[in-house]
Amino acid sequence: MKVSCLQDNLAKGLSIVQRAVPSRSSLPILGTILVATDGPRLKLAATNLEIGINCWIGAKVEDEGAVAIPARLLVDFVNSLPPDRIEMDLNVRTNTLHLKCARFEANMNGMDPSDFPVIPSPEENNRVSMDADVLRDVIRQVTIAAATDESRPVLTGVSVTVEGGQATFAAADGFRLSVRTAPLKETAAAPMTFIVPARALDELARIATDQEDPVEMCIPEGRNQILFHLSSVDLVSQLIEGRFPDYKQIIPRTFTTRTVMNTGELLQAVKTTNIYAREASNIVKLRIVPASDLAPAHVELNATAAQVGDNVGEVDATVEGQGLEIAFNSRYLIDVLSVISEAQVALETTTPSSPGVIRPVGSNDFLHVIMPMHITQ
Amino acid sequence: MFYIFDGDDDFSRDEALAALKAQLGPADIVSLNTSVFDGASVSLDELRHACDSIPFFGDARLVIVNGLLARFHAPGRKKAGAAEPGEGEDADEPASGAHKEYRTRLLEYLPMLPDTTRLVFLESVLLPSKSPFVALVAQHPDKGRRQAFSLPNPRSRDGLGELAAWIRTRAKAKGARIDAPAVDALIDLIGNDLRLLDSELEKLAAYCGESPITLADVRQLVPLAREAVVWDLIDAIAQKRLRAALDTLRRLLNEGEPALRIFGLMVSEYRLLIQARTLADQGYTDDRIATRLKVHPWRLRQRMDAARRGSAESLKATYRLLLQTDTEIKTGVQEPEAALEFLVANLCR
Repeated sequence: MKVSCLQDNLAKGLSIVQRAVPSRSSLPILGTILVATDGPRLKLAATNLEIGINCWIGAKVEDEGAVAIPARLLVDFVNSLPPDRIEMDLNVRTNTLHLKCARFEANMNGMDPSDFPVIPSPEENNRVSMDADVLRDVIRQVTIAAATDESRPVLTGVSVTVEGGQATFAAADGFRLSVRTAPLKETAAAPMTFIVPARALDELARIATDQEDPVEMCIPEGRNQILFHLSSVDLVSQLIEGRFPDYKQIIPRTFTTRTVMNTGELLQAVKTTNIYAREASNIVKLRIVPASDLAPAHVELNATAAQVGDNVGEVDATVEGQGLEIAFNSRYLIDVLSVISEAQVALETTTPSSPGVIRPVGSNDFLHVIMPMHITQ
Repeated sequence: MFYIFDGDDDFSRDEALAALKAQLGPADIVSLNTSVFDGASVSLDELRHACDSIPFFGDARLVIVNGLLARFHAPGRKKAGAAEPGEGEDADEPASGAHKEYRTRLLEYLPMLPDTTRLVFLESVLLPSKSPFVALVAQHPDKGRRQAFSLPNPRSRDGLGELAAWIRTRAKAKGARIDAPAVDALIDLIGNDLRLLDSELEKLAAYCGESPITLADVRQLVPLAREAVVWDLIDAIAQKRLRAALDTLRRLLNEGEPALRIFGLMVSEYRLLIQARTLADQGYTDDRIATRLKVHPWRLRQRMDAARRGSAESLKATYRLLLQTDTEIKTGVQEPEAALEFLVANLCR
């Protein structure tokens, strides 16, 4: 293999694939990054067997070839090089990669590329696509509600249902539920339902930061995997096996109080209250006060921490229905309010012990359900 | 409501937890409402958050904490005359400052648990009878429950009876009957490992169907019963029945038992015979010998006949012959299988 590329491009490609390199592995080959020519481009690949990432960068290929190089050595060395042209020359007999950039040279002892796990390519079947900016938004809004506790694997994933011209993403950790629907670029040939690890989706959102073209999602037949195809990156993830809870049944259909507030104001008020709430199991109490002759409608937020003290804040609101006092986890409120870009949010409530539903005003694509906390008298 | 499931019988503890889960509703909704914490690292705030949250569209929230309450008692000396078996911690021993505050706040919090929450403390040791958490259960029977799960001790008369009753009840629940020698054999082979006993009973019940489970079934199906067959071999040697001894040896080898494992079991059996004989010569009763050597009385009874059959010196001579065979196998003088056959022939002279 004889190939040259720009340091900037190689460093960027390596930063994308290195996230799939396991920090510890009993298989030495998984600690490497595959460097291989692929037509006129250079392919970089890494996998931890749960997710795998292929990334292609522009290069001048003189001789074809491939080698697996220890990830940390390659990434650290390339990141420390000046922004210049890097020339790579592989000794096939010894799997030694020679790198030359400006006044720096290095030899890296690699491993046999044929030992590197195969990361599949996209197939034509079961393929749908979605605008990249919409997908990034979806991931941001949904993965916040996925469980991090590995004892319930299904809940660490995001349930995806593809039907007709739209896809519905849902995640729940037993305390909250996020559901977001988004349009597809084309109608799906057949309905599909699967569970993608939330970690893989977060990685996808990170990789797709600069993506402008639509992102293709492909479910290869019989492999229990999903492949996301971007312009110059493919991300493959194992799907989670199991049955996701029937979340449609658990979304409240009615409410007695609807409180509309400014998203930014409410977020700021919750963050302020959280300074006290974080010392008291993150409990923030919301007192919803409908308009009266004495005062306009508003919501009072307060938190009490026995050993610290207490605080109270207030935001303007439009309240339809009865007044109510309800307690939520302040961190959950911050999480959801941080991913809503609409100017106003509506909080739909029924009783202090019934779930609260948060929806952006003017959009029917997203809803977030939070279970309230018991208020200890 | 909070539950304390404590004791070393993790099998029955897990069953009690499964029964509690089953009461709480459909499995997927229960799963959504279940939080599991490691007692070694969970903070009170994390615990309170999980407990104080309203159930996620179910009737109850299940919070399981592994090994938290035992944390509050520094490991102490076993108290003389402890009220309960396995009780090894001193409730009065002061915990560290942080633990003490945690314990105090938890004790204050537990009676205020929401009605919709089931908080289960799983403890692998029995809590001391003076533990404040045990006392709290007594003070608030409507808010807390304690179930102690202690493994029956097969070396005590009561424990033995308890274990035998457990096996019979378990077999009955699986639609099977089991005779007394089979129960004794299972206890001898498996002891008080209830999980393993349950799985072996499952297998035996499926195999025997309507017929009662007998000693022969246990010997045929329970892998550990190989040891019992090795005992048959020793017994035949002790009675100088060469043909029976060689038949048993060949049967074991034909069934795939490695020669070196058979040899190891023979060595261990003869060691037991020498120890039992030495103690018997010193005037120990069979029961005391069983306790001293930590073997099932039923197993010892079988072996005492053989132990008493020859002189103590002949048993030691046999042990020396075993040493010689061991050396010959390990130095390549003899193949293991041939060495075993020669050994059996020599011992039966």
